Amino acid sequence: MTLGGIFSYLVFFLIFTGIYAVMTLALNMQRGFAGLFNIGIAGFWAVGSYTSAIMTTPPSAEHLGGYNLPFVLGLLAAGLVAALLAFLIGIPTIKLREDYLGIATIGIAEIIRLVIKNEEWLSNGVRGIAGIPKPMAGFLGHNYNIFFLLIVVLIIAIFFYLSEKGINSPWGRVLRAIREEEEVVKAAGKNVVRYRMEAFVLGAFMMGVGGALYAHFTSFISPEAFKPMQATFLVWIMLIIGGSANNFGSLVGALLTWGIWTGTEFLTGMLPAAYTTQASALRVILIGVFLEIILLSRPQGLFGEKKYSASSSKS
Amino acid sequence: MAVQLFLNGVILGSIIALGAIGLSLIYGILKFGHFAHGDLMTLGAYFAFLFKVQLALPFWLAFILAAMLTALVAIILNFVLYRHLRKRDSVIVMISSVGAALIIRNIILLFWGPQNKFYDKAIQMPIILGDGFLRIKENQIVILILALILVIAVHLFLTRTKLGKAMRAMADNIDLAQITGINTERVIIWTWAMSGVLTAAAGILLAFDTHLTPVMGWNLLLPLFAAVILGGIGSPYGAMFGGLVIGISQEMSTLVISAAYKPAVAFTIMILMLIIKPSGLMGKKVS
Amino acid sequence: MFKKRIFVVMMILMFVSLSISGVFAQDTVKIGTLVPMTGGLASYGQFTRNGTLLAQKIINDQGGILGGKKLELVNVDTQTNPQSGVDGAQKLVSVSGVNAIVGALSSGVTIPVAESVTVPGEVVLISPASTSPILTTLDDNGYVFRTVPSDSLQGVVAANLASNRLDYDKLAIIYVNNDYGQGLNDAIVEQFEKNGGEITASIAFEPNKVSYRSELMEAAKDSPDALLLVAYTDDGGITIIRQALENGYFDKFIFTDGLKAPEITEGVEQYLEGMYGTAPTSMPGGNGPEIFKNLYEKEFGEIPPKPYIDTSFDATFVLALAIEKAGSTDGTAIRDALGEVLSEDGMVVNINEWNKAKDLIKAGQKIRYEGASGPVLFNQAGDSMGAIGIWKIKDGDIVNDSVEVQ
Repeated sequence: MTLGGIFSYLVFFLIFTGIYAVMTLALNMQRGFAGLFNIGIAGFWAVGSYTSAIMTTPPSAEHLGGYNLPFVLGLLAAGLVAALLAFLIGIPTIKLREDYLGIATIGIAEIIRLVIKNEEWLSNGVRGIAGIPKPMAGFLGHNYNIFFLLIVVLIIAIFFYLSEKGINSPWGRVLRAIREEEEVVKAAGKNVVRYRMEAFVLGAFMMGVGGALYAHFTSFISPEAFKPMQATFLVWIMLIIGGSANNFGSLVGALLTWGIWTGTEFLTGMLPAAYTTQASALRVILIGVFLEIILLSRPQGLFGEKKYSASSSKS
Repeated sequence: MAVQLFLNGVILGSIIALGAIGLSLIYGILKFGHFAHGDLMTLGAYFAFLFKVQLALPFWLAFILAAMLTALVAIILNFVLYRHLRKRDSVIVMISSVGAALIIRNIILLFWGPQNKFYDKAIQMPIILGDGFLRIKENQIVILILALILVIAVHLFLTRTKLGKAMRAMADNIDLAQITGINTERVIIWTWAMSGVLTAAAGILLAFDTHLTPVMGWNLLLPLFAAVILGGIGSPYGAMFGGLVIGISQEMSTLVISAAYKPAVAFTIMILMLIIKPSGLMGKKVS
Repeated sequence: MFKKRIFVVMMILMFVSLSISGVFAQDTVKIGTLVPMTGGLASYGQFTRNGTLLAQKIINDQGGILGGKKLELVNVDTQTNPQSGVDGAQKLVSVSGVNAIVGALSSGVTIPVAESVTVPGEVVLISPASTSPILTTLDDNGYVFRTVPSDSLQGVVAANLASNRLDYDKLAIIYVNNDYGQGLNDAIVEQFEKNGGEITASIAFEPNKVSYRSELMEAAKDSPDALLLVAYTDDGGITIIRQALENGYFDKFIFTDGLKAPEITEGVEQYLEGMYGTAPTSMPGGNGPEIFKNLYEKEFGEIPPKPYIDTSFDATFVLALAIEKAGSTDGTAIRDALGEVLSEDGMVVNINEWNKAKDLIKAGQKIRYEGASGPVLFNQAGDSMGAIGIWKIKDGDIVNDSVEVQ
């Protein structure tokens, strides 16, 4: 173990944390600020990853397109398609109780996974899409990951800034008011459904971009990457640990959770082979217990809800 | 072929129905989707495996012991987790039930390992009716009869006992029920117990028909929710009906679509139901 | 205050676990192993790891590597999942400092690991189990190898088995819906139709469901002669066999390597008697497989007839050969040495002759490595030139029947 090695793993670790942080910020927009229960993150993640992959790879006979577009357009398209998907899901469900949205999103995520698995013309099926281009990879060589980390940080910064800006605007105040006292806001003549939908769609946009970042970083995606545990529940745990309705908390939650998730790996890796299966199960149990303890002892998360400007809306 | 698929659907449907009754009552009374329900089902099946195969008890005894143990686990979950979180946001309770699901599934993995298990290693040849027109195993007949007995028992319990009536009243309108002097905490505990028993039964019957795997219940969770929403949240009869519809349509769907999309059928029905009539077929109006 | 305390405790936990592996660092030669201990392929991972551990033992018992250093294997669990696999690989490379990795098993993990970690990091990756054709064409600068043949090869053998030896004209296929299943299915369909047969149904199944009756019914519709089943034991393969028998849909089967496991016959011995299957296997002639079987049983007890145990042994062994040849643990040097040290007409080295191998390398000789899975030779694309064996169920046990060389 060299200092350089630690440094390069740290960069790598931060890239993964960063991709998860994008997801957590997005979920915070939906859940933290608007109270929406989205447990189909895996679906938006997958749609973002595949959209960007299809947009930016060279033409291929194995899947749709290969449109050879630049990286930035890939990210944008990923966000837009995910947002469109959210809009379509939202039409029937957003006006219903929050748990219906939850069940609908998890169902849609599952259907998306099945479509990706079975529609070869679209996604090359279970074989996945390889060779997703890394921006500027040709020029940068060995220190490429540092550059990619900068891209991730830049995107987090943009989302963080816009999210803070939005939540402190009149729009954000109405949103938070809806979460607290829906009836009052309704009585004040605001279109509650529209505000919720906007938060849902915005969050989905961010998830799509996060998915695209994942695709470009790993260069290869297949349906295996979008399972509920790693793609949905880990993000929820991050949000809850960091504290709902707090963008800074979301970032710290992502860092800590991914740190613990991957850190405990080192411990199980050192056990004798015969015990590793058990140890890995034990590890998930520990993470689960940890989540429950946080929920029971500090349901507001480490940071709790940030005090934003007065939360009552003008009528 | 359609008749055979229909029969397979009825068998799967009655298993889903058993699991969905408890899920629906909890949903109605406690106002949250219990995402650990599927894994509770798996746990029941593995408890029965413990008693029947590992401790070599007779099947009926293993069934009863497993059902009681599962009910106990459900009550413990209520006391340790859900009771404390209920006063807060329902999303928090749901996430904690997702955590509970993960814990249960991995405890199963820890003790029993990832390999498939069977109650009986030997296979059973089917009774063939009408020159291959319809095939049914003895086990499947047993499953249908047991499911029917349990459903009738649930019906009698809900309509003839004070406790059962209180459960229905609470699922219908918890505030009203409280005013009428129902001891809500006690009813909640009994609801968990009953859900535990029914869920374990569903898991055991499923494993009895096929086999045990640590993800069997998790994979059935969405069909369970679909059955609950179809029937209307809080309505035990709706859940029974919903379970049958989901089971039958999943199996029959292979007549028209590729079997690879079979898992999507339950979700599609559920989404359609949410669009057309969110309160479900037999549920009360959703605010 | 409370908040701060939790935060501090968690930070400490995180960094302790991050750095703990480095504390015990010694002067060893490290090879990473990247196998699943949990997730879909968990039941293969454990035995695969045994294969690598056996190679480590032989090498260390015979004086170690690079002038007496111990060979150390560092394992991480991929959880059969690409996110965890990629993260694990990066840990191996950056934190543990390995430049050679054995893994991963499923192609869905191996390919992203190669693309995002090992190829850019100039680390040699040898997969003992990934059979996807994508690996052949991957733009990998020669850093990716495998000790298992591409699945197109097995498909040809399975199809020929059905049409030539068993005289089937109509075949139904049910395959697990992943790259392994799909790859095999495509190869089988192509070859069987070339042989003049008819594929009546080719159906993908979702793993880990409890009932496959509707898939089976669909497969049995046009009364095919037999069912060719491409599956693993734990993801539904056994269930499909049992439900096919129980409901009388099929009584004749052909299996592929994922089902070459004794569990498939449990309780159904009499129905499966005389059925055939295929699996990557050792080439005829060498006695690597027998030596391997003996050594494995001495170390770990009875060897399960699961695939990839021998190939993971070989992956570890040839990596050690290449490191010895290169005289360093530099990734590029290992890659180049892999091409130089192995040769079809080299001096024969058996799997328990590490000392002999070292002497040959010192003398500048090339080596023909008679591996646990047969002679290991890589072609230009880093693919193994393996052989496919036909196996048979006899008296409820799995026995090897014959070997088909490509």
